[in-house]
Amino acid sequence: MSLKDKIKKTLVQELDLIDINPNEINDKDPLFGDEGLGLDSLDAVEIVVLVQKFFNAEIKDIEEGKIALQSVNSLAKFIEEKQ
Amino acid sequence: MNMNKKNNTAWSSRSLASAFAHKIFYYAIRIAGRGIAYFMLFFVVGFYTCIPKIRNRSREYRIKRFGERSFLGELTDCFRLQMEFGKMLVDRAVMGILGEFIMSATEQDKQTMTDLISQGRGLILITGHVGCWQLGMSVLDSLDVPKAVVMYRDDSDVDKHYFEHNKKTNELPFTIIDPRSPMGGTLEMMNVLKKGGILCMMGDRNFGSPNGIVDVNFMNGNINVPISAYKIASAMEVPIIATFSHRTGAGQGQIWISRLIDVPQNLGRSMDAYRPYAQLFADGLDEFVDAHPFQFYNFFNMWKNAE
Repeated sequence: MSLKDKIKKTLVQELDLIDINPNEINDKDPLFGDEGLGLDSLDAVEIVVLVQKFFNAEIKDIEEGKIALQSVNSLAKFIEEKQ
Repeated sequence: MNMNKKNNTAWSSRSLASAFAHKIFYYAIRIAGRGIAYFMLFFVVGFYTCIPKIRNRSREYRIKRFGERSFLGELTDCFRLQMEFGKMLVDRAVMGILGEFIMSATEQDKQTMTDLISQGRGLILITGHVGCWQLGMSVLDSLDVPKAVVMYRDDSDVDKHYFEHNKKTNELPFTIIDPRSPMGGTLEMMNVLKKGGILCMMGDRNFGSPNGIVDVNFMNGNINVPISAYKIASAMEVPIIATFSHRTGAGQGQIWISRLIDVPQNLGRSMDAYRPYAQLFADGLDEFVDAHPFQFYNFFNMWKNAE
């Protein structure tokens, strides 16, 4: 399984996104806001925790978070850089 | 808690008075101290109490707390409520300008905070718009850990916080996190907690987003309160204490721990999962209002949108 697929699967499972199939998530879709996955700022808390827990990559501050948490693409890139 | 959306709250942090009126108070405090400001406040509050629209802002609360009152009773209650609020604002300005304010806490409460901080997991203090909440953080000065306050300010707000009076120093007593910043400031909040710091949040108002709120019972009615504190606590295994502070006299206040709220780990995305913990906070607020009915400063109908 590729890193991006693993990220999608982890997001869906850990955030209980029951209406979303991981395979239907576009790599470029925004994670937050009305478009894309439609997550909100409170979900960011869980994503930061699960990125550390499942991918051993720590999002240390808002600057890193703003870049990493844009899409599956950006999250994968961030994790690859940290690993 | 998406702060990028337009704020559609029923309340505003904007002051009733103009910037000029505030400056008059600041100058008076510089020249003659707290007493003259309290004296001026008497007339200002008296003026505002005469305006029905202003009285209506706190009407729902007063009815729930004191019941239906005669016109004179209503005027008296409203005056006392606004006078207490005004004194808190004066105390805040005096603290900023003259550095005079004594915030106390019982030894037991101090020890509880110290013990929780020493666990190194961070600590969330959740409080409400009551008493002298804006000065409550001063009791934490002795704790050598990062401190942050989640603070919303109306863009047109003209009233100064106590730490904004001293322009000579850029050193703030705590970091301010704006909930309207990207991702609602949650990453900054987590950053403080990761360092074992103290994060202070308001538990009695939401900031305009329909997301991230639950309804809880408060004063025999339902109000909407934010769940962000409980969600962060659950995700990061951080303890929460509900604290409230009340003015005990001119330039004096006391902060007390209402209850320790232990939120289980991994409660997930369901808002309902966080309701019991938000209710614990509301229960604490209920007790505060019972003990200090004139130190409750939510000047809007909190029950309107949740019922």
